[in-house]
Amino acid sequence: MSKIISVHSFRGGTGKSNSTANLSTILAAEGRRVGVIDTDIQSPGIHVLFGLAEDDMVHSLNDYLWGKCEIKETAHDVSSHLGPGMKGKVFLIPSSIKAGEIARVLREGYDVGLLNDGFQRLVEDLKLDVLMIDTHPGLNEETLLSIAISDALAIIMRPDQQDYQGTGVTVEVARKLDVPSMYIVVNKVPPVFNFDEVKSRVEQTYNCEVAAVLPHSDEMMALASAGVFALRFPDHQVTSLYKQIAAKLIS
Amino acid sequence: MTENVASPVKFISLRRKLLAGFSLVFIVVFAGAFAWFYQYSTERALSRIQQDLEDTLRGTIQGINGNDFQSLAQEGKADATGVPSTDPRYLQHQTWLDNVVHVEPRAIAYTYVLAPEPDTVRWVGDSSRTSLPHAGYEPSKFLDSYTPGAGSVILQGLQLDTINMEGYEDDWGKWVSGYGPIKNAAGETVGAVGIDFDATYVVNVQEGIRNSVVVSFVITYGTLFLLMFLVSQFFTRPITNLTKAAELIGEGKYDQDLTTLRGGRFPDEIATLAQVFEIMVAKVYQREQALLRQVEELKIEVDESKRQKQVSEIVDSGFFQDLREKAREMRERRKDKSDSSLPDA
Repeated sequence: MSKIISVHSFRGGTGKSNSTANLSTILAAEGRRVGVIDTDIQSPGIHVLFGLAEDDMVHSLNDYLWGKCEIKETAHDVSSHLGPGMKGKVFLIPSSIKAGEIARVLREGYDVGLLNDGFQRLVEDLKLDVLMIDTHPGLNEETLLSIAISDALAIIMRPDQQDYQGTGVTVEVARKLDVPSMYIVVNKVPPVFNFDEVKSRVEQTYNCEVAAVLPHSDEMMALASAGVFALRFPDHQVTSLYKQIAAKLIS
Repeated sequence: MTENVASPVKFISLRRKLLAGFSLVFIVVFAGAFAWFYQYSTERALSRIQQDLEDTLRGTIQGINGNDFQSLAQEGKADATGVPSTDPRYLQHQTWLDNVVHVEPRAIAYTYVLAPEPDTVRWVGDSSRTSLPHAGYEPSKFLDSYTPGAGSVILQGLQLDTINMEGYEDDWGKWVSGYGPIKNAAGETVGAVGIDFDATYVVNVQEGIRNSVVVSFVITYGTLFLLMFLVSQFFTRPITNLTKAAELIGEGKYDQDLTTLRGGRFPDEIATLAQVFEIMVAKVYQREQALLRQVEELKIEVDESKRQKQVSEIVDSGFFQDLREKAREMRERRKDKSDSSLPDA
């Protein structure tokens, strides 16, 4: 059975797109057909990590939502960008990065129901094993939809006062939506922290399992979204933690 | 994260470096001082002996009548004893040379004249014939020939006063010598006086310096080495203690006692370093505690009532209720579709 996995965070800048790209790549490297859909229509970015240039974007998610094309026409096979070791496939459904189209979404909105249909069609048309949804931060309608239809949800948070309250709300809302499996990922944690203590305190606070506590990584910062970290640093501690998260989400 | 990086160079302690540096400097300075003192003392001893030699030579020449000496050398005949033992001129001459030796026991006085053979002299008087300076010493015979060779100081002594401080050594010690012409009433050179002067004193002075320098080197070097050893310990011990404390602090043991390094009433650079180190440790500890507190705040910073209110605002809406129902249906539909696509068992 195919799985829909949402990667969400209450606030922006938590490393959500980066985590989505790494988890998708790890799952595809194991031989799966993985779709990655960027529903952060207002501030898209995950296409950068997969090396998809603006000129190579034939259709975007925006075109589908405005009835210009079928959802499968928006899928871009970026597997070749990920190197020769990729056993499976990665199909990226990007959001438009054209300023005019972003402004139109903000102004007019779109049919959330159409988005839901799109998810289902994608899974069927591309014969996906996994559909990864990179959500928009916060808790608006399309985000709630993404969470609601997901089989697994990863909530990314940082050890930051700004994230604590919103993460608590997100966890509770997701629980009300009966998401079958839900994990918190604590990201960008300074190495001075006791990671075991962070894990237990977060789990105790939110009553939700922590899939991993990811340390702040200078290598990740230096990479600056110029590629997928797990491919560039296959033996890094952060990569092994991403694999641990991927295993939990897919199980 | 701790990394052990193998040091490519051998570790040499500060104490060893200090002791090696001190030893090198001390040996160079001591060797220089020794060389200067040795040379200075030798020159001073030689200078004193030369003065005595010159005085003795001049005194001896002044006490000899040139005319009598000339007639003795020309007319005197040796008898069975090898000398003109009954010739009053000879006896008088020998008596004078004996007197010189009695006044200056370090001297051997003798006289000679130029022989017809080239570069040859003949001995006339010799104090050692009557005052044997050393057992086994063989004195010269009256008018025996001796050929010292061209340009020798003995031949030069027939022309002018000549002092030979380079000297020579034999079985009885080290000697320096002086020579000066004897003149008759007409001012003609009729012979010369030779003085051999015992310079063993110089050798004794040099030996004394050499012996004492070894002892003084051992004592001085040993004392200063011990002093340096203790001083280096005084300087390196606080650094060693500070290093050990830093290692323990690196492992998270912040309660290190550095009060012994503060220097008491007379603080120095080490004390300042210890104080700065203590301040640094305190600040690091404070920062660590602050970070640990942040972890605790993960629990306390969630406002539960506010959270419930925010959750209610979302989940109580009609949209949410509808979504929840639809999502459940969709998941079940996908599950059914997936199950039906599986081949029959």
